[in-house]
Amino acid sequence: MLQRIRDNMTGWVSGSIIFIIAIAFIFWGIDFGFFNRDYIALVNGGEVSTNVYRNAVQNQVSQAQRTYQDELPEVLLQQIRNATLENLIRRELLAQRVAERNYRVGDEQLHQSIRSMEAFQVDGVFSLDSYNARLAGVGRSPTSFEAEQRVALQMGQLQDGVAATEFLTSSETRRLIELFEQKREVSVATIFPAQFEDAITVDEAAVQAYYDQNADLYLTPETVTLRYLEIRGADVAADIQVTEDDLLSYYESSKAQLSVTERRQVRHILIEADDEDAALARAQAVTARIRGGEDFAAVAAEASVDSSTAGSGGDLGWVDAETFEGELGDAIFSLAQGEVSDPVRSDFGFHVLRVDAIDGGVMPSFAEVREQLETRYREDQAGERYYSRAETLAERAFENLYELDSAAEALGLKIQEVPGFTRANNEVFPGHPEVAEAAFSISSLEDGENSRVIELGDKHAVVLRVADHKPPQPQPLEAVRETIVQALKKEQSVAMAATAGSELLAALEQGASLEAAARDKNAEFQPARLIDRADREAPAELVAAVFRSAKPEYGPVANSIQMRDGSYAVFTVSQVLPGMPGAVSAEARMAARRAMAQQIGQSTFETYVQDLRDKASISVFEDDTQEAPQQ
Amino acid sequence: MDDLLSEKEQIEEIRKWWKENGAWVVGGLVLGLSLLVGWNSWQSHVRTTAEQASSLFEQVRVQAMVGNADAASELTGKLRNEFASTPYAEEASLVLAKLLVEQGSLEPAAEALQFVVASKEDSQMALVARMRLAQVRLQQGDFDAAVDILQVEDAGAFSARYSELRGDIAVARGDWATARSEYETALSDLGAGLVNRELVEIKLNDLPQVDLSEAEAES
Repeated sequence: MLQRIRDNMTGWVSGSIIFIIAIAFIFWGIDFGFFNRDYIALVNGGEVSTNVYRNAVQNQVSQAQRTYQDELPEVLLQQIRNATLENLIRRELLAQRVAERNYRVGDEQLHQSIRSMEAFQVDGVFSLDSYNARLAGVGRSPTSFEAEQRVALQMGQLQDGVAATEFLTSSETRRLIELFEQKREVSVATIFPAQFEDAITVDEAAVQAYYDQNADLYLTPETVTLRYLEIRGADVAADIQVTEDDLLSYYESSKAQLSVTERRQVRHILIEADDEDAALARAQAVTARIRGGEDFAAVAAEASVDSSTAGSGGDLGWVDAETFEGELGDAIFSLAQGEVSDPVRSDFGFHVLRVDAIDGGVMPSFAEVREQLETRYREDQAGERYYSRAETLAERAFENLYELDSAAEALGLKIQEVPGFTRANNEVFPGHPEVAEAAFSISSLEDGENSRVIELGDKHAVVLRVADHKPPQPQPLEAVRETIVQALKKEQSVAMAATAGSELLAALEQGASLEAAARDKNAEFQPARLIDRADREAPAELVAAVFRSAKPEYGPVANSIQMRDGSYAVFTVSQVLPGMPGAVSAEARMAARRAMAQQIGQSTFETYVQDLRDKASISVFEDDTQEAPQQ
Repeated sequence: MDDLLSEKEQIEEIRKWWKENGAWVVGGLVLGLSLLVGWNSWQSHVRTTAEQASSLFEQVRVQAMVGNADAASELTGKLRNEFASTPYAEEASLVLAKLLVEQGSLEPAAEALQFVVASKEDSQMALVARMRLAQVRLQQGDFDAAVDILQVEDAGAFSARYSELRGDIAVARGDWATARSEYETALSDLGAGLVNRELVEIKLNDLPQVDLSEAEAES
């Protein structure tokens, strides 16, 4: 048997099998994707690439960081990841729908859309150069960009087809305007609990019971005694001695920064060096003509082959020593002002030059800049000293992790002490919550270690440690008695306001007028007034209650609401006036109609996608190589 | 092995094999190639058709923007007759329906929407078209037709919106109890609750109190 296979494997059979296998590898390669999954989700079998997902997350994270200005909390990161994945899944669903149904945008429309993108325009006109440069800048090829753009346009057709075609009929429009702009006539009686407080007596047993139940509401804040060493650049600046010699050598060493770069305004006439000797002869003739008194500009216009300057008197503008290399540059910078040069050879040909003006290039004298130098010198020295002190501080505080004395001694500093320092303390180091954070960190509190060097700004830093940690403790009843009494009084008075409110409501049902009942209950009465949904004068919760209330079909409707501040409002709605569509012009009405339809259309499209998602088969995988959130 | 057969014999073997199987090999190659060519030209035909339809659709959008209902209707008709296999026939019908409703031509609008309702290819779009057709029927005062068109086996993610619309129809009929229960369903339908809650709450709170005695008498 084996022998037969062996026999058959020779000759054409084996040849063709190897050929077929080779062809397969040439065209399809070896796919290890099976072992190394590179997608984060499967949507109806379509892949959501892990790379695309990670890049999108990264973009979102950097954007969030710009507003957050800090390391993002894990909860937020998780939200970003979830939302990003969800977006990609929805995108994939739409892309599938667009592909299935053969949405197709033609080349003409695609090109038109790309040409109208501002990013590729120069002065409002599409520029192919700018297009290619922009794409190259982000490492994209036009082919892949155009393919992506085509899909985006096709998805846009689908989205617009659903969202932008939403409409409201005229009766719906009228109804919505009537509803949104409805006005209700309302009278209000408000009972404030404060009026009951004086009459309330709180007995000792109640205080004790409340204290026992709510002990953890009345804890002392957690405190430590903060000890720290603080260094500043300014501390050492005054000690710096400056001698005249120091300044002189500083002057020498900073010449490069002090001198102003020399610039020269230069004209030239360019003679093309087609035939070396003839060209040189012509150039010399030009030099001679100008030296003989002819106008430079006139000769330039006639003789110069540099078309960009010939018309403007040969003017090259202001140049510095680096503008032109080699002999040309040297020649420009060796001419005196107004002198006409001999011909100068460059790669372009022969130049005849004249320098019209010279600017700068003068080194200020020591006396002129002495003061400026001293300030700068002191700053440099102070900076150097500060950084060396900061380094000493960091080293000493780290080497002697459980005391600050050696660091203090090395730097000649006194240890500062703040007793009773709390987490919320913002007075010792205003605007630097990281100090309290370090003070109350585990390494400070439990391990008793010095903190790292905390930078508080330019040339300003501290190292701290804590002593005498006092965890939060229940306060004795005596210390909080008054607070508890107030809380109990508030609680009871709010209940009394509610009772009074219900009685007031009952009185209304007996036929009393709101005004009379309000007077009776010592409530604040506000006579009838028309309010709309956006009313700002009444509290928002009251306005919401008024518009939630039943409509007065058989006489005024009474209702009540307990408000968040404890006061109790009883109100009567005596009239409901629908908004008036006729109050605005037909154009304004149409604009409102379209705006509302647009809003509803957006939500219709979201529902469309949601339904696609509900009906899709979706599996999401862990991103197992998820990088740790940025530190 | 090779050395068992002389070179001549090997050539003879190949000749013999080719004589027996050559026709099949050539036939297979020809068939494969023609399938490939056929598939490619079919693909390019589908693409060209879709591109033509797409550009017609863009024209419908332009005509709708300038309010030219006649031109938009004509183009949409062309899409429906000649490009029914593309999505653009339905897309254009939706665009046309909006234009017609805004111009007050309700029956033609209903007819355009009916075309999308019948779509088999995009069930979500058909569900959207049903809501819009119901809106038109409601505007026409044909409440029964409006309720009918909203009768589907499963409105999926749209079910809250369907409830809201049924509530709107009930309000137009003055059937406060049904309206109340539909609006409450729309709000409670949390899983698929893609509905403007604020708006539905406003509609719900605006309903007159149901006269209990009347409701009991009816049931």
